[in-house]
Amino acid sequence: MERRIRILIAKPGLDGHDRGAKVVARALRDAGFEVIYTGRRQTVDQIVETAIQEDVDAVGLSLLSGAHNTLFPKVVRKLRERGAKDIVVFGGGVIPPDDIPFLLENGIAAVFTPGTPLSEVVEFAKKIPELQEQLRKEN
Amino acid sequence: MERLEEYEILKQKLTDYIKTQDFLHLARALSIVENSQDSYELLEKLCSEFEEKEAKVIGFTGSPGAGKSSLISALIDKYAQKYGKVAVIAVDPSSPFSGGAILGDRVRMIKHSLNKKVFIRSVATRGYLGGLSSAVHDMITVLKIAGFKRILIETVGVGQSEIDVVEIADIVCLVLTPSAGDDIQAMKAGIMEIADVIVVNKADLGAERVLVALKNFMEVEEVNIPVVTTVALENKGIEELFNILEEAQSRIKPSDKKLLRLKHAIRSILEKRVEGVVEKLRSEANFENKNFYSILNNLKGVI
Repeated sequence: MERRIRILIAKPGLDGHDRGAKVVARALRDAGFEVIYTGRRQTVDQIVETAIQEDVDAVGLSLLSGAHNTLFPKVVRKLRERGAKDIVVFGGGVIPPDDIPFLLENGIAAVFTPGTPLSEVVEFAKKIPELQEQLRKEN
Repeated sequence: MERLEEYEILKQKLTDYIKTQDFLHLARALSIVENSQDSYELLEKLCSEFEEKEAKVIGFTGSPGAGKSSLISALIDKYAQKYGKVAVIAVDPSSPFSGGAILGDRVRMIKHSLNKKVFIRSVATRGYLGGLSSAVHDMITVLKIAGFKRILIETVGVGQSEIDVVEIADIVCLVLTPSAGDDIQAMKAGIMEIADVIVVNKADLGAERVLVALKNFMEVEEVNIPVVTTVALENKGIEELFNILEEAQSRIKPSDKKLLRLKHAIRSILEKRVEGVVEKLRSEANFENKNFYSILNNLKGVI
């Protein structure tokens, strides 16, 4: 069977706005990706454990509550601690431009803010295998 | 990946899992099997080196929205309690157009995501139209080697999957809802052959009508299948369902299933091959040529 890239789309923390996550999930499906969706209000541990059991290639985090600087890097850290060295983490939501460099420095591979064309997310997703290769070298 | 290298990694991951019980390794082993081209070669080797322990597979089928995921979620604790650990394979359809999929069964099972006794894996059908993914059979084998005594399979719920699940699972639980009266009519031909246990879920919406329809139907067909009413979200009827499923289990002889499984395995291997040929045709067909028959004629060599 051909390999398919598997992506977990998850919403950490307490905000309940999942339209963005669902739109991205759908766009990724239509581009041929297998998307696992967890629903809203997940803890970091739940997301990490789900990513591990599903053996996804990437985790996409959607967050609109403002807690991205805390939660996004925490997901990366816990994944690495759990031994998932090569799972790519990216994120999206209402994220102020000033915060983006911090997130990129802390292991988030890409950040997509409102208005991003879906094709941009898809293009990014196509590069996931390359990014994994890089992670395997680094970690 | 080279076949031998692929096998060595699979073996390593499975050994690591058996040693540490860390799902990280099991999940990777399953991916190798899921993505492998001719997985049966890998698995033959694997089965010769590892012991495939005694385990039972329970398949859940029924229309989309009948509550299969919620029922499984409610049953998980019972199985985990009795057997130490339990695995769930939840199958959702791949898009026949893009090949992509949204796997959402986990949403209903999310409360178990931190339970170290529960392993849940979502699987896309990957082109196998309507049916269980051809990888499911292989994944079950890996889970058996990994020591799971009970493996729950959630099907897509439509099309080919009913037939598939009979071939793969030791017992089949058909999930209906109070509004399923017409479903029973529609399923007449197949329903009695596939179900070992029937659940009427969402019974809080009034199950009488569908229970009567089932009773009448079974009288006419002269069969007697256990029927349980449940409200999965309120945990009602779950204890009884669990006991009936366990009891049904003990009635099934493993040898009865062997031929069915072989049939399924062979069919899925053939389908994989045929799909490969269709892919090849698609890439080699010259669509510039407007006449359909000329296109086919030019493909002669490939077919």
